[in-house]
This record gives sequence, C-alpha cells and structure tokens, in this order.
Amino acid sequence: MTGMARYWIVGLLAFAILLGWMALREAGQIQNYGQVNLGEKPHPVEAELSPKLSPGVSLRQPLEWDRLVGAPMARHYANQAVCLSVYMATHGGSARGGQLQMTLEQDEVVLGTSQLAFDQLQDLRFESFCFDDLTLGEVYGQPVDMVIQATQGVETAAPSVYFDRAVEGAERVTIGNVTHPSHGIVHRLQIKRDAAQAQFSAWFILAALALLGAVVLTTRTDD
Amino acid sequence: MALKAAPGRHLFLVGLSMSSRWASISTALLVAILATYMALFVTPLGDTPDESGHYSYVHDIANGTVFPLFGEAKMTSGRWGYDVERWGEDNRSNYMAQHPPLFYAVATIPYLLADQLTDGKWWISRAPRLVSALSLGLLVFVLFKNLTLIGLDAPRAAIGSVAITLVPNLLHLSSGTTNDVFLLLLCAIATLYFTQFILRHQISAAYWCAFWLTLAGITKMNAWVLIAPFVAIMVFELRGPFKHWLTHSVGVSLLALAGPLWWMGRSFYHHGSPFYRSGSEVDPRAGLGSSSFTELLGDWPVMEWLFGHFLGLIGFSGYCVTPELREFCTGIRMTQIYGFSREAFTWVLLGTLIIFALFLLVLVYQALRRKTRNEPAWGVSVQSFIAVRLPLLPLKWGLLGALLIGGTAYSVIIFISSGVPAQPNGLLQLLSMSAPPMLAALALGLLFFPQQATSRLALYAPIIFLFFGSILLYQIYIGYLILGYPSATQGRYLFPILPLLVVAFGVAVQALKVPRWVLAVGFVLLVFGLANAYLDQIIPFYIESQV
Repeated sequence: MTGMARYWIVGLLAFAILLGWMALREAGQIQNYGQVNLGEKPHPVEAELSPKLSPGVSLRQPLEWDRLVGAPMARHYANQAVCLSVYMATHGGSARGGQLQMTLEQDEVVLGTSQLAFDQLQDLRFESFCFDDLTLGEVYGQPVDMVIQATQGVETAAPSVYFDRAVEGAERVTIGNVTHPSHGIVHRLQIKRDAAQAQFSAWFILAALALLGAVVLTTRTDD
Repeated sequence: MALKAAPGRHLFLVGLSMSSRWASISTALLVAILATYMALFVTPLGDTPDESGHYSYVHDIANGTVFPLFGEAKMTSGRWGYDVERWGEDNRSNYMAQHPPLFYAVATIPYLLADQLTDGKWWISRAPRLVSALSLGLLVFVLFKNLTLIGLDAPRAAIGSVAITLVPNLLHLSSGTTNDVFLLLLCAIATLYFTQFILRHQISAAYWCAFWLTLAGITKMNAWVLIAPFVAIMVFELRGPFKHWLTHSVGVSLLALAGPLWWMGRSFYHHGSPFYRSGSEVDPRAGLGSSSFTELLGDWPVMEWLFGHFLGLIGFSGYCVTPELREFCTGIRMTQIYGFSREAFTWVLLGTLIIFALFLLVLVYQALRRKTRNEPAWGVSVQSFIAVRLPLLPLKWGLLGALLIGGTAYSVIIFISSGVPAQPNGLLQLLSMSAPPMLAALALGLLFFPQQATSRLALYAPIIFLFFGSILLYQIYIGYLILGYPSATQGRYLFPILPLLVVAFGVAVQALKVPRWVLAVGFVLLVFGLANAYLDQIIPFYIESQV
C-alpha cells in the first residue's frame, strides 16, 4: 500500500467517524420531530436560573393558554397529545442520576405525568415533557398548572430551568410556597404527531451526503 | 490536464479520463437524486420564494397562454392547497409574470408529462420542480468540466464543483419551482465557453458563450448584469485584424443581447419601459427612506442579511397554502440558517478569500519581477495591446496603486459603516463581505500587466463580481428609498456570477498548488454544515409550518 493510499484511508476513516458522531448527535433531534412547537419560540428578556431541582424543590406555574397558542390553532390540534418543553440548564452537563417530573394539575387533581431522566437532558436546550394520554382539546383553556419537581437525584448533580424575569400576566412561578410575580418558567407548548416521513427524509439526507462525500473524497487523480 | 485538445470539436463531446468521467457523472447524479428527493418529499409546496407565482406561470403556458402578461396574469386558483370552493377564484396578480419565459417554458414539459401520465395533483404540483433539481445535478457536471479545463486534477475539480451545491440555499432552491437554479446552470454553461474562449481564443466558443448568455437573458433579468461584462471582456480579448475584430465583436454582442433586447422591446411595448418590473414605476424620491447609503448600512443589517440570505433563506408560504392552516395565515414564514452551518460556511468563505488574495499577491510579485508574459501571439487584441505593447510601467504601477487605494476605501467604508453583526463570528462574515472591492481593484490593476490566460480569467471574476454586487447594493438602496426598509437583500441574486467565481478559485488553487487535504477540510465542513442545517433547522421548520 502506498503512502498516499494510507493517507486517504485515514482521511476516509476520519470522515466516517465524524459522520457516525453526527448521526448519533442528530438521532435525538430526529426522534423529536414528532413534537411540533405551537406558537412563537420564547426569547427570554432577562434570563435567570431556577434553584437546582433536587427532591423537595418544586416549581408551580399556571399555563397561560392565550399566549401559548391561539384558539383556532388549538381547535385544529385538539385531538393531538400535548407536550410542554422547558428551557433547561444542566450546569455544563453535571446533572446526572436523577429523575425530573412534570405534572399537569387542575384544582390539585393530576391530569397527566411525564418524566425525564437527568442524563437525557441537554444543556441550554428545550426538553419536552409529553403527556400521551392527554389531548390539547382536553386541557386548552382550562386553569391548569404545570408542576416541575425531581423525584430522584441529589442537589449537586441536579438541573435547573430558566426563568424569564420580565414576564407579564399569569405566568408567575411559585417556588415551594413563595410566589415570584416577575418570574416565569421559559416554556413552549407542543403537540405530538406522526413524523415518520420527515424522520425518514432526515436519514436519507444524511446517507446521501455521506455517499456524496465519500465519492468526492475518493476521486482519484487522472492517470 | 484532463481535457484532450480537440480544436473545432464541441466542448461537451471532448473526452475526459476515466476517473474524471466517473467523478463528474457520479457526483452530478448523486446531487440530482438528492435535489429530486427534496423536491418530491421534503420541501413543502409553496415554501420556496414566490413558488405560487412561478407555478402559475408554468400553468398558464401549459394551458395555452404562452406569454402571460404582467399586470393581467393571475395566480392559478386550482393550484395546490387552494380550495376554490372554499375561497373562490384567486384574483391576485401574478407578479412573477414580470420574468422572461424560458424557465417556465422548459418547466412546462414535465408539467405536461405529469398531466398526461398521472391522474393526481400530487405529481403535477411537483413536476416543474424537477427542472430545478436536474439543473443542480447538471451544474455539478458543467462546473467539473470547467475546472478540469483550467487544469485542475479530478479530485480537486470534484471538490470544487460539488462544494457550491452544499450551500443550503442552493439545495433549497433546487427543490422548488423557481428560475434561480436553472439560470445558474445556464450561466455556468456560458462560463464554460467563456473559459474556453479566454484560454484558446476559439471564436466559436465566444459565439457559444453569447448563445447561452442570451438564453440566460430570457430566463431572468439579473442575468443581464452578467451579459454586459462578459461581452465587454470577450470584445476586449478578441484577437485578429480590425475587420475580423469588428465583425465578431458585433456578432457576439448582438447574439448575447438578442434575448434581452427582445424582452426589453416587449416590456416597452406593453408597459412603456424596457426595464419594467414590479415596483419599478415608483419614484424613489417620493418614498419612505431618506438616509444616505452609508447610513442605511449602519441602520439596517444589510450586509449581515445578504450573508445570511445567501447561505439560506428557507421557506416562504407553505403555511399559507396548507388549506387546513390557511385561516391562521398571516403572511410569509421564512428562516435563516444559524448555528454550525453558518459557522462552517463563514470559515470556508474566509479561507477561500485568503487563498484568492494570496494568488493576487503572487501575481503582484511576478509583475514586479516582470516574470509574466502573454502566451504566444494569437494576434493583437485590446487586452494584449494594453498589457504587452504599452511600455508605460510607471503609469501602470501608479494606476494599480490608485485602484488599490480606491478599492480599499470602498471596502473600508462598507466594513465601518455596517454595524457590528449580532451573529457569532459576525465580524469575520462582514470582513469577507467587505473584501471584494479591494480584491477587484487589485485584479483590475494587474490586468494592465502581461498575464497568462488562466490568470486573466481569474482576474476578471472579482471585477465582474464587484460590478454585479454594486448594482445589487444600488437596487437595495433604491428599494430602501421607496419602502423605508432594505428589500431585495437576496443572496440568490448573485447566482449568475457564481460559476466564474468557482473557476477563479480553481485557478488560484492550481497556481498556489493548494494541497488536496486543505480543500477536503473545507469540503467536509460544508457537508456537515448542510446536514446540520437540514436536520436541525430546516426539516423542523417545515414540520412546524405544515399540518
């Protein structure tokens, strides 16, 4: 094997490893295609971290439906399962070994529960809590609170959520028993839908680009 | 060199070596397949710019209105997503009828085939998109031929020809019914013959170039901005006795201008102005904007938008043409590309500019050492007369210095006037966007000295780009005076000049013997940037825009 051939085999191997890494990195994102955001993405004006969410710390905040999505759109998606995504901080990836839970409650009755492991969370990303048995139509317009708390974990390895300090209206958070009128959890409303076609397309694009890259990078010099 | 010398033979029939043939065909095929998949299954109908209007133009031709008239043409009521029973006839004017008809005439072919061979709207709505998708594949093939023509080996030519298609905006536009990528292909073919003419001075190549330019001129009016400098340079380079020079200068000019002249005449006949288009009748002085051009750059992120919109301005009105969501429609929905893709493109563009700037500095050094000379005499041309026969070296150096000062001032004004961009690495992006006047001035100065044909080809590129870019900035400024905000900040308007820029970069790569691994690193960055753009942003954007 010539030195040049070895050189290119190493190069191609590096390309393949990079592709593999990218596929792994994107897999979670592609999986999330089934969760569709409704309404505009929140842009925190004065972002601030919540206390670390270890067992015993709970955040409660009423949902302001009008801000999350308009009534016609909510009617349109009334039969879809509902999700709420929250802007998370894992403190540089240090959140490990616990379980975060979100419940939707109406008059202290739990309508739905969703859990995420600390290890699943990514820093500075919206993470989705989905309620497969609860449709948007069942909760839209109702006085519903979202409650976030950890069911397992320790404070030193617990995540936080982001607050926006400049909230208006009903979106004020209660930490434990204390209500903070100017603090609201940064969150979005989502619905779940079938995204198999989009997921297939994503993998198709990645495969096609991998093949294209391999063909280009292995093109030989003219004899 | 991959190209076998075959004087008199048609350029597309000239053979390539086996590896070149394999590389060009396989990469072109893969790109075409990817773009076709996007057109059929990924990009929602209506989500490339003005697709409703472009589609309606095709529909009109397919139904017998060969030249729909701007002002009278309407949007097609029965197009995708438009429910005539629910919303009645769509009486909106089709402002896309301001465009010349060639793309639409070609797109009518797959439209009619789909109409004959299928029984549903699914295929008919998407069939015209195939022209754009196939154009992108053919673009790779044509660029590859062009890069091997200037002497690049197959591996470097493959990287250069495919890299441009990895800009998310190109793949996005190639998946829609729009004339931009088809126009880019026509300009690439014209550039291929332009290259052949500059390198070999075959008069037939000049006529072929003019022929493809005239076709570009009846595809979209911004091609006219390319035709003028291309023709001027061909006349500048044309060799031979005066009568021969005059005859062919007139012949090439007339052929290149035939298409645009026809369209100008038609516009004048119907609208009273040869350059008539949507909004062109408005007097800028009566508009809403009042700042100077430099104030405009400071008040609005014009250069940042141009950069972002060249990289990718995704979406349009898919949300509004989905019947179930139409009641929520509040206008167009578009997004730029952010994150890794933007970062990767920033570094690749900067690297490209550095390589080209180094190439220009090498030419300056060679001019200082008087190492360059024109190739063997092909006869006298205006170019060779100025470069070789005028022994006014002090004047030439003075001129080069003056041009460089002027170009640098132009660059500095753009850089300083523009506010600090908000995006990560925004200053690097602004630096790249501000560099062309300086590079073009240096290139123009170098043309007064004897240069190899490939070098001259590369020197023409930044000059034409500056011409093209300055007219675009002027149009943006006029739009601002009328509307009160900068419109037309569309990177795709620069498409016609892209092939020559790719070729010029190829010349620099060849001259500096840039290692293949350097190009490979840039290429891999673009591959991952494109994947990231689609997987992380574009597909989620489409999902949110559609039912």
